[in-house]
Amino acid sequence: MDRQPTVMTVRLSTHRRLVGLLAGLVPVAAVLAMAPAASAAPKAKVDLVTSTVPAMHSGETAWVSTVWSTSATITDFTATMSATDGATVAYPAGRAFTSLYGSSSLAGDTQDFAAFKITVPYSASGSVTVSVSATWVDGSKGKPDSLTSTVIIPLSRYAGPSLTQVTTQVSVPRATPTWVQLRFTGSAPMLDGFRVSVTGPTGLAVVYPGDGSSSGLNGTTGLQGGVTDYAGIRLDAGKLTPGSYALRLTETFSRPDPTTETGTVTLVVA
Amino acid sequence: MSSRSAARLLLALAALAAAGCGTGGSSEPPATSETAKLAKVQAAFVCEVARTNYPTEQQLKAALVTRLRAADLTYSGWKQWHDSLVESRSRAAQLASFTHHC
Repeated sequence: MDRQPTVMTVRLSTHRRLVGLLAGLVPVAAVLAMAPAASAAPKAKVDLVTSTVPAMHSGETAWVSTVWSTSATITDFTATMSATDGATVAYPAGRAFTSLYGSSSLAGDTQDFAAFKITVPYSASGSVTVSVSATWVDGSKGKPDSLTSTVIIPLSRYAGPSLTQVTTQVSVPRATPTWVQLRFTGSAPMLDGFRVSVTGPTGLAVVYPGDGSSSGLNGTTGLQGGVTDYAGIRLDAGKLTPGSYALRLTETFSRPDPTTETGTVTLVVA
Repeated sequence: MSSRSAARLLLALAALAAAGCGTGGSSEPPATSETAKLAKVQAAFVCEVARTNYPTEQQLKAALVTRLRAADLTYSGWKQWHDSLVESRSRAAQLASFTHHC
């Protein structure tokens, strides 16, 4: 009669011990399963895929991109560049470095790019070599890593037109002096010191900003290839009769040699 | 519950815990047909910038926006997806499957 409760007590005690032991092993097993995976994770292999970027013209400013790949996730990616032949480098948002487009992280087995702005002087020829220095943190190891490499930018001489005159017609009321915008798109790599002046029919008064003898561009002093900007002039047509007139434009700039070109805009006086 | 059953249950829990540590568990953003479209646009965009110089930074972004609109996607959606790549192996795998060596 005394043995039965004793056996049950022993079985129950063993059961509880086993459950307690296994419960204690759960976090241990989890840690053991994770620890070897972290320490055995291979180091991220980061590569600069780009060796040569699309060709540029001497004198050109452009945003160019370097493509990067990684075998494992990395974070905190940054890159800085320096260039030969007097070319200058700038980065997005005025920062001192560039990063991957959209974020500073790169998931394993994927590619992304880091862009930077480069201005090549007219004096450069042949090619520009860009030295690239990148840093990142290996996602699985939490350790910083780095790489240095080079990218080549082939150069050629530009031989096309200087610009495209976008504005072909302006309209002003006869009663009120009015500011109008003359828009241009750069075709040559860079038109430094861009100025425009206007001559029109007798009786038309033309006023330039600051009461000068010509107008500069609204954005910067030079017209960059592929960029559209405008010059403002004020027209007083009070002495003209309503109708259409021809305005002669004279544009001066350096590309890099001093250059003068002309164009025509139709003035409509209402 | 027998001792053997309790042991099996706890071992299964341990295995699940270990597996969860390795993959990020069920909180990983899922790969969908929408994320596949984003991955396809991203891969093509990276190829485009690799062979194109842009006069301005705005024109570079405009090139992406144009591609997204053509695929009926938005820039904000692309940004959220891009940020999720490092925490979603399945989405990163989608991107990798579309990535070309361009």
